[in-house]
Amino acid sequence: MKKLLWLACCTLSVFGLNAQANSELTVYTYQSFVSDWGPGPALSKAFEAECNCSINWVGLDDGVAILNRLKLEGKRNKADVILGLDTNLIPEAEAIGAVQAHQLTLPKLAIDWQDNNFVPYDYGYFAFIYNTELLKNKPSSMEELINEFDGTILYQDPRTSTVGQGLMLWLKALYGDDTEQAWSKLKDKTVTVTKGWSEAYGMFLKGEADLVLSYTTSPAYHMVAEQENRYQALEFSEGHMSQVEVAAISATSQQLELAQQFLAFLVSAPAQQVIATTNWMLPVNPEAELPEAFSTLVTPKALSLDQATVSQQRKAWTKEWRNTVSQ
Amino acid sequence: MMKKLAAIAGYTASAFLALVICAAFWGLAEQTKELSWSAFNDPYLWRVLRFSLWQALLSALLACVGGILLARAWFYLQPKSLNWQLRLANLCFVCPVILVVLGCVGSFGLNGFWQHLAPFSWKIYGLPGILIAHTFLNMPLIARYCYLQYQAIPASYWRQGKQLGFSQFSYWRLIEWPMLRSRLAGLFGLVFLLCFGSFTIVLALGGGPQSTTLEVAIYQALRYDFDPLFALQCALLQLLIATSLGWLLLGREQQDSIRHQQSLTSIHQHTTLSLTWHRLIITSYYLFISSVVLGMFSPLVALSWQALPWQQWIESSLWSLNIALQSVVWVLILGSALLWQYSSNLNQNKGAKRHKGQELLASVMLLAPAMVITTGLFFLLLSRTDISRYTVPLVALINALMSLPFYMRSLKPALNDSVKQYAKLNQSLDLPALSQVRFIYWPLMRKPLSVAISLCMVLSLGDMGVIALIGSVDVTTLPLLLFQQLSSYQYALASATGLIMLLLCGVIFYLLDISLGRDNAEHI
Repeated sequence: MKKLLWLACCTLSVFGLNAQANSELTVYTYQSFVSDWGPGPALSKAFEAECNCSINWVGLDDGVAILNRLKLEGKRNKADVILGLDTNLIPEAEAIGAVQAHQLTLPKLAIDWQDNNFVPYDYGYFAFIYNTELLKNKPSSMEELINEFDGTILYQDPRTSTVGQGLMLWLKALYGDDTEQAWSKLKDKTVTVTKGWSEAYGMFLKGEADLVLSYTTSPAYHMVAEQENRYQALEFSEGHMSQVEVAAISATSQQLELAQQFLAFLVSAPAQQVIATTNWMLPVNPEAELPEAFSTLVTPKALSLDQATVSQQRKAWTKEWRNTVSQ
Repeated sequence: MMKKLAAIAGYTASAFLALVICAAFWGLAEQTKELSWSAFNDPYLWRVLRFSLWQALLSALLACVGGILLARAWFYLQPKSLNWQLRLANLCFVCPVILVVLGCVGSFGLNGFWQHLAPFSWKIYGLPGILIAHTFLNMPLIARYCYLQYQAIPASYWRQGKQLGFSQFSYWRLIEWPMLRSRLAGLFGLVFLLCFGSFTIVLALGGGPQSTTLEVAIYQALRYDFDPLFALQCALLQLLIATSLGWLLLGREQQDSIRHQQSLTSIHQHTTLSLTWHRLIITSYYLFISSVVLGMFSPLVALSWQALPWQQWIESSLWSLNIALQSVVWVLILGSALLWQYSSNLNQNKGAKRHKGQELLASVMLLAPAMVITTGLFFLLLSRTDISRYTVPLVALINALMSLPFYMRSLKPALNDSVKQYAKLNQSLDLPALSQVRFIYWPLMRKPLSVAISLCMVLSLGDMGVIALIGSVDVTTLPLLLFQQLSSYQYALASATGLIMLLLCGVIFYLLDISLGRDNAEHI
């Protein structure tokens, strides 16, 4: 009898879990966006106050993982908004029909932007972060990092993370067909390749490597949130790959208006301020007020690759990385 | 009449198992339109295969060598707590794998206490971590079986050895090794297969593409690159190798029950050196086991008790229980039908061949690892329906298939004994079938049944592979939650989740024990 009761309790409570609230906006994003120190909680609070709804964040590993999830779920995904792809993934996301036009008139942005489906919400430059107190002979160029640097690095898996993919594109932009050699030289310096940005950065802060792949804006976090100047970005003479992170309305969304409202909110000055100081990237809305620390950051020369080439070659380049580092 | 019913039940269960396997292969085969031999010309695929075999070989070797040393030490020293130690060895084997990963990271990892004590540091991610975790899981199992083999060595051998003045080495070469050899081949193969198909450990402790096994490559191909073709290639290779190994293995395994013989240690003249050696072995074994267990829970010290994710814990515990209960229902239906047929054929010598076929079917998950079956069913459902709606039943079914061989194995000996013991009595009393079950078999089978069910539930509760592959956003089980916390380096939270998992397992064992496993002498 006891057993029966127990069984009944378990099954009933499981069914209870499936109950859902009505006006709920489901947002697919990456893990660090919705962590306690990310923009998620603050954005939820601000947006839920004006929309009379609730945001259901779904935190996946990283940007590329969001795209893979969309491919896997196809038309049956539950997302209303997809937030966390970057411009390099736009052609692929459009090709699988994952998004629909946002039909919004955007405010004046800090970057040049023409896209009917996607809305940019922040941008930045990839860079290696180091601890100024521990690392004495820092490399001043990618060339030096690959050939002369004798420390250790951490970076993210290009198959799941937009940051890891950023390094892949950065190397491609600099080395073209010789990228394979660059990877194999980097391999010996690599502590491990993590699935997403949070894992790699967390490991770096624990002192498990000399350099970690992140953004030029990461030091701002330490300066603002921790009053800590130890961590700085390396500036490389060849230039840095830039990244623009974007959000869009899912093609399958049943809540078009709410999703539009959310995107408009995302590029508004208050939300942009939150994103800049919690996601630690540069805001796309020039109206957003920034802490003093942002003016001390390195402002590198920007590199970029043609979007169409990237979307055609991404798979092949990822495979090249996979085959090189698994040797 | 009863015999007919039993046969129908048994065949239906077998047919269902065959159907699931066929469906999985159909799902895989559907994808083969694009498969060509040239696709196998992928250096990465072969590298992954090489690493899979290499780590499995090393793991199995380590487990066997360690297991033999430990079994010898147990046999020669005959510690007072031996029964308890043998039981503990069993527990290591059913310990949820993700907990073992947590323990390895916590004790040998970069922030583990061993690294703090040692003057130099090492990397746990990659082969070292994989080997440590595999050894923890499999070495105690091998030690236990080897100890049983030692017990089976006739006393006369030792006496003769003593008369001839054997040295330690001669004992080993002429008495112990020949006795162990027969059993060890099968055990080595079993551990090799288990490690070859190991998923959770390699995923969590692998650390990049250098150390990827076929199982993990299947997962990555679907989750990272969305490359079904590559997943299929890995699945086919995996299946081919595992089946050929399994074919060689099956049939070599024998059921043996523990025979308590008189302790023969009095015969041995121990030199203090050999005694010290054996004590050293046992001590280092316990140091290893306890450091992994400590590693599981040492991060709890850093836990902040203010903001605990109760909501997440409750939800994922309920998902886990839901899946475990559903999978136990599957196991009970399938397993009991197979066992019923088995018991009705026990008193005749016919059907032995047929039975072997069924045994093979029931062990399908040892041959075709979970990822292969999961991938097949995944493809099959993906093209036809909304897969996220079927997540829970599908995971439960595959977990049930995974624990079916263990269920059968733990119940057969007891069933064997009781049928053989009471068959004649039943015939002479001419009891109706239901009364036979009620008055004779049920009281005898209660205890083993409660153990078998708890085992299946714990196995299903601790499984992460299947849910990681087909899990939708809404379904997060406890092991999956633990894995997510581990991979975002929240060790303290992961530790707390691990504790909840262990408590749940303990509660399951306890509840089943008081409800089913009670001694009830009043029945007879």
